[in-house]
Amino acid sequence: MRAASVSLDPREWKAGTPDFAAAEKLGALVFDRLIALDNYGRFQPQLATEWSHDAAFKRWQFALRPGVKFSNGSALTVADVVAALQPLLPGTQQIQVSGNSVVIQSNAPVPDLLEELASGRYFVYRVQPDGTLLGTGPFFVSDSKESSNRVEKPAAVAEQTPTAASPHSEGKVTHLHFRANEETWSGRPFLDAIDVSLGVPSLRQLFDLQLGKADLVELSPDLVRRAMQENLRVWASTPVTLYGLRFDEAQPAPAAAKLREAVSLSLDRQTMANVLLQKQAEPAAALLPQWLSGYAFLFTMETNIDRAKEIRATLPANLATGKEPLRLTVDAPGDLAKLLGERVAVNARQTSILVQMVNRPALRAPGNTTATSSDPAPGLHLFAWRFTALSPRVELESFVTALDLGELPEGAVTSSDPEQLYAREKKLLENRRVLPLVALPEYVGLGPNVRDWMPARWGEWHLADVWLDAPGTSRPDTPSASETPLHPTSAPSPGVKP
Amino acid sequence: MPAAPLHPSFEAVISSTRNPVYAKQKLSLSRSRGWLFVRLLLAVFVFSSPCLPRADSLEDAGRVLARKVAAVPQRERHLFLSWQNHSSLAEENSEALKQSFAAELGGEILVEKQEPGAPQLQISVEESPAFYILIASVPAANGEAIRMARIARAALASSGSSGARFRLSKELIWQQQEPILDAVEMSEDSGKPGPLLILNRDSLSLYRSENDRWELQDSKRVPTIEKTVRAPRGEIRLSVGSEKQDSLVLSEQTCDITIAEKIELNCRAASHSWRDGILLASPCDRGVWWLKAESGDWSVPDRLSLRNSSVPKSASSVVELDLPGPALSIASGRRARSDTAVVFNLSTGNYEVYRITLACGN
Repeated sequence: MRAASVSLDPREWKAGTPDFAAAEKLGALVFDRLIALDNYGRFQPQLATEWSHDAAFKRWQFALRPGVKFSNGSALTVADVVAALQPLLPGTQQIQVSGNSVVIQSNAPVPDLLEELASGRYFVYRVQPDGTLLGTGPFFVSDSKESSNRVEKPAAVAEQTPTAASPHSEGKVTHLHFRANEETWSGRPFLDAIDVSLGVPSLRQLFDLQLGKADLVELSPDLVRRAMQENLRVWASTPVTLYGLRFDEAQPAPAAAKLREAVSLSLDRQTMANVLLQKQAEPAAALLPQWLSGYAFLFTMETNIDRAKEIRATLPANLATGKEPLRLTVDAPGDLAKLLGERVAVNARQTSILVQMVNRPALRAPGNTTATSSDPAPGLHLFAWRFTALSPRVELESFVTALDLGELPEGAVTSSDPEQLYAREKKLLENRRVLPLVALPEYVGLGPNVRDWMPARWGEWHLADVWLDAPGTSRPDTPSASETPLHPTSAPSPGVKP
Repeated sequence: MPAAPLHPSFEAVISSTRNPVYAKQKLSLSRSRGWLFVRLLLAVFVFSSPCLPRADSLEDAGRVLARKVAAVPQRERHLFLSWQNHSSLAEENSEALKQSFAAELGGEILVEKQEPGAPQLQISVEESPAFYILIASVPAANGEAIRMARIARAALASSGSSGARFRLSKELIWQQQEPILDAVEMSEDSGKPGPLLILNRDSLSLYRSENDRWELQDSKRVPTIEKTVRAPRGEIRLSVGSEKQDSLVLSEQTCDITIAEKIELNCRAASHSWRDGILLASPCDRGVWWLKAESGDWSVPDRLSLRNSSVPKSASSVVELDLPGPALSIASGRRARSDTAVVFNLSTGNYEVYRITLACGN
């Protein structure tokens, strides 16, 4: 994986960041949620077997699946669920024990609570006295390596005390070893073990896949065409990452509005998506993607250089020119973001607006796009936002909050009605403080022997269902006695297809 | 943080209202389904609450949107309807939606012929992870008004599609959301349907055909192995030739099946091998053919292939039949006159049972 480090503690994940998505993928190996949403729009029971709500959608009750155990063999209780979810839920929602169920009580209606709980950070875990987290999922972390102090747990110890691990805070984890949880309620996964290497550059990942050193890699968009030309299996999700521009409030208000309009009209998103990103991205006119909101197609973004020049001519002569260029900070990590930033500058220059790229402040956390008072008022930010919620409302709320796009109107905060969400997003776009540029799918390269690769189209990998078709083997369903990482057992199996 | 007070009275809506069983046939109410029925009634009551209007059916969704369109201020009086389905909603469902929408909006607003320059009411069916979203772009004096309605994707039954010297044909006879391990039709006569035996993860159910519907006659729990298996497997094997006993083969056990009015199971520990293909008798030449699913992975659609049973199994197939998803099981009916294939439909996410028959020519 490209992520240089990852925390498996859902409480530490920051919405919208690429690290969130990476951590969520690994978290899904170790933890379960109360419910899941399948590719067909159906909520599937996970740790909760039944759920219900009152007429106002303020009170939800989830009956816990009996007999679920953590990876160390201890039983999952409703108290565990409450303790895990309360820190993750918004302040307006409280969770309580009610018999063998948990009840989530909200101040406002949450008709989309199921979408909320079926995605994002809402995993159930237990915090151990040493700070590590236990999960009920199909795998557990048996080993991790850290680059700072190279701590490596003895395998024997790891086998005796399976944990979800806490690869955070102490050092940079570069390698994670997950082993199959034999006792998981959902049935033992087919793979015996999964090795995850972090911080691997994109090109090296491609080479590893070609050489058979890896069975599954993250492909960067610039390598997708190459991978396809070399007949590698490539899977693409729906567009899950939005690249966009955000204006800060440094300019005087009247001029700022016109400047934003001129910049917006200058942007050539088609070229960004089709040329710069080799058709591996889509021009974005909306904040939420079509697959998430359903209404994104209603938005359009016009490119009109002549109109942009006219507007520019009405602005003060010294604004966004040689002496006072519009400073663009690329907050998003990676070369792709820099490329997009350069293209924004080229587009703007065509309308006599000078955009100067400046370095990102070194201490700012990746994905933290919020300006602080100590920043030198750059004017414009290029950000990347990774969608991780399956509720459009939750995603839009997180987006508005993280990008500091202003207070949300009362009432709109809790509305999941698509018409109201559309109105809210339209207002944000009309204000032009945030300008969507392109939306990118996530690309995965797959080894030739990977079977039953059935991810969610929004990027959940479902690795517990995957198996490897090693020569002379068939689908396993019985656990093997000895560990054979990444290779299924060869025992005759009920999972073999007819 | 203080806990919010809990309401003493709690109106329950079972999760299954958003997670329905999509049996094409009418299911008789089992004991557990009786409770479900009561809860479903409650659900209808709760969902029809005026607090947060939600469309629970296609017709509801069409009507809700029509009322919103009719209420748009300064809307053009007469509109020509342009309807587009960009979602995974089946076309017949989209058509039903369109009909209910048009019926609610009425002939006074909708015009049948598009006159030059006549304002167009554009309806687009889109989808999000959990909903189908109906979006109306309504021409109005002050520009275009957008109105929306939605319906849970899970609330709609996705329809499956039902179905050359030889021709393999398939006919959808059963579909449900829960996994099916195996299914077999026990009819002695290939012209008559059923009885139908369906092996679920934890039960064996017997259905009989009554007035073109499957009615549940009996259901027995099957012995489960101690440890949960991610991909459990089981086979129903009907007696062939001198064998008199039908059997149910599970991972670590074999059960004798006796079927009269009720199902009787007599199980014992046993080891066994799984079938690699099945026989299918030809009505054309009294020959027996070998039917096999292409070995692949469960993320891609399968293909049934028919080979001459007297030649090696590796011989090329005579005829093939595409399936809408991976074949999880294929089983032989009595005298191999028809076979059944259990398929996971990749488009709908349902488990489906197809009757597979061999016909002569086209």
